[in-house]
Amino acid sequence: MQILQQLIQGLSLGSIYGLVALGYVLIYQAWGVLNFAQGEVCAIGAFSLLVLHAELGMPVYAAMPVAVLVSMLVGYVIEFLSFRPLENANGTTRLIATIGVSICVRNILRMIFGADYFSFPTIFGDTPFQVGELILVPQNLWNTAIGFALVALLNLFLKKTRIGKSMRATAQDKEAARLMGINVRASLTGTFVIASALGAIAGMLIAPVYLFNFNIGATIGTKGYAAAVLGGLDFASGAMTGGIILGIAECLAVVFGSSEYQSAIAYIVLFLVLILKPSEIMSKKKKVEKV
Amino acid sequence: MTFGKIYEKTRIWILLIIAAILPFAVTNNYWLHILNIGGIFAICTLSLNLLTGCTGLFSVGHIAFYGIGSYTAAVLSVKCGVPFLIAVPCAGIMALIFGLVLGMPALRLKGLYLAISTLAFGEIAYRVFLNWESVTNGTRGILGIQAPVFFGINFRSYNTYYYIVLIFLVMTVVLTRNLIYSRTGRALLAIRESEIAAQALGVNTVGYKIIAFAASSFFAGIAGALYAYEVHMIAPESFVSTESITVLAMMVVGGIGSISGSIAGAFVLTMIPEVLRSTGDIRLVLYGAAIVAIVIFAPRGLGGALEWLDHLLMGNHKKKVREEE
Repeated sequence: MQILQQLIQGLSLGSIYGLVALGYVLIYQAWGVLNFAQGEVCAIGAFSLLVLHAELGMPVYAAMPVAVLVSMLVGYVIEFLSFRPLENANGTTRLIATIGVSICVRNILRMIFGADYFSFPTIFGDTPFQVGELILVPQNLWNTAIGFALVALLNLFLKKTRIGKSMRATAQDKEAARLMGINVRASLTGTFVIASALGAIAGMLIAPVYLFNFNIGATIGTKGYAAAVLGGLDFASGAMTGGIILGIAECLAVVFGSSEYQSAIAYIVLFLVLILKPSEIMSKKKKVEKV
Repeated sequence: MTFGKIYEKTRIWILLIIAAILPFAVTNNYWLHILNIGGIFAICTLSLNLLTGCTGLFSVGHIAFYGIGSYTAAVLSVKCGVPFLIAVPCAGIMALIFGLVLGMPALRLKGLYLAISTLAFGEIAYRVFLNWESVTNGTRGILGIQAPVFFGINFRSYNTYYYIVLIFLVMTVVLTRNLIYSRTGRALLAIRESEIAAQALGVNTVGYKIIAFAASSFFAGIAGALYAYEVHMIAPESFVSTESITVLAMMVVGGIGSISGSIAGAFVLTMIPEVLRSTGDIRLVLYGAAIVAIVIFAPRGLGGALEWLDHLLMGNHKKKVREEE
């Protein structure tokens, strides 16, 4: 029963990791770079909700969209200042630029909020209720539901709408997309902003579950990155799978190991999965390498 | 004898002499400490450059090897009373063993998958430092690492320890340079450019990748050991994964694959937060912004700028040599 309990916990944590991973994947597909500042965007989401809801007393349902907008704006600024100038630079260089951005943003948060830990007022209620022998927390259930709903929505958006289609086309082949009359510039920016919004929502959902400080971006970012790569960096589907694998691994670690080593055990699982089933675990694409 | 020719012959010696008299010019202990840390990170960056810059094996957990070296040296020195000259190579060898442990299975992985496995390795190493109380003392860290003593001279003070760091840095530069310009180095570059092409040309890619992993982790371990003796106490907080990213940033800011660049990058990125210390909390914000700015405005890194300066000073001489070739 305890295992089932932890599985549910892992699913809820994993769907948030999946959301963060989704941000990584979207940007990776469009820009060809892992955006290490994605974790900071999550932090921005969490902190803007904290300010709007807890400090200014806005009701949650009004504060959340505003916080998402704030994060989208921040995402746009990041894209404008550090992605656009480096569009034609090589991969490692761009990666380092995103690391620079993440250091920058993290310390701006530190300047504003200090190094103290904040406990976040719960959004969906944290009074646990019992179903049989299981103890469920509404917040966790909602997190899972919202995680999956967002992935479904995103899939729908990318497959059915005109904007979504042009984004996918841009991710596939920029030149061809441009020839088809797609505004590549706008698609790239749009993808980035949407990824930021997803990150912000993930940040807001995880904030009530964790005690957090300015460093939350680093923690959650690393998890998301791991989940994204585990999922194969393909569109949507893989990221969520990767996130859930990671989340469940982490929670099962509590059952079978010590909680001290919780995050280490998650990484050991990750490591073993990578070693035993190397590269492109979830990815369906078969790459042909040419010299 | 033109100026350019004289410059080309003497530049290394001039640089060494400047490095040797630096502790006399910088009398402030604080800055000497920063210099030493810069030198130690230069060794670490050079080792990462060998792995990532030359061979193209992307590592985001490099600080783990540095930490393993650090803890090995500290445990040997404090708990077993092993002298400096034995503890440091032992630290290097210990890191090398772990480099092989990580390297052998990780060789099956490519690109980002390798990166994530190194990330996982770094994370696991940090947890072990934190939780293996009986050996690492957990969060309290290991205290009281004695400074090395040679010929009756105690190398405790920063300006004397500086020379030890300098000697190790010079040795690392000479060794990596020789490695890069040897047959092995060319094989590594070939692997970076295209593994399949290298394989087709008869390069034993697996063997050379293991060599790259081993050499890289060895030097990182040495750097870690030097760090332990520099600060006299180590704690797990010095080896978190953010530090791996810092080393990676040093490498890229310096210029990927460039030896002089790696050293410059390490020193510059160690100095920037300290120079900005007077600005208070905003210093790390500026530090992050500086990394972005350097990457955008100097795409070939500091190494590129140094090379440009080098060619400028050498002037016509270099051009003539090229024409003769």
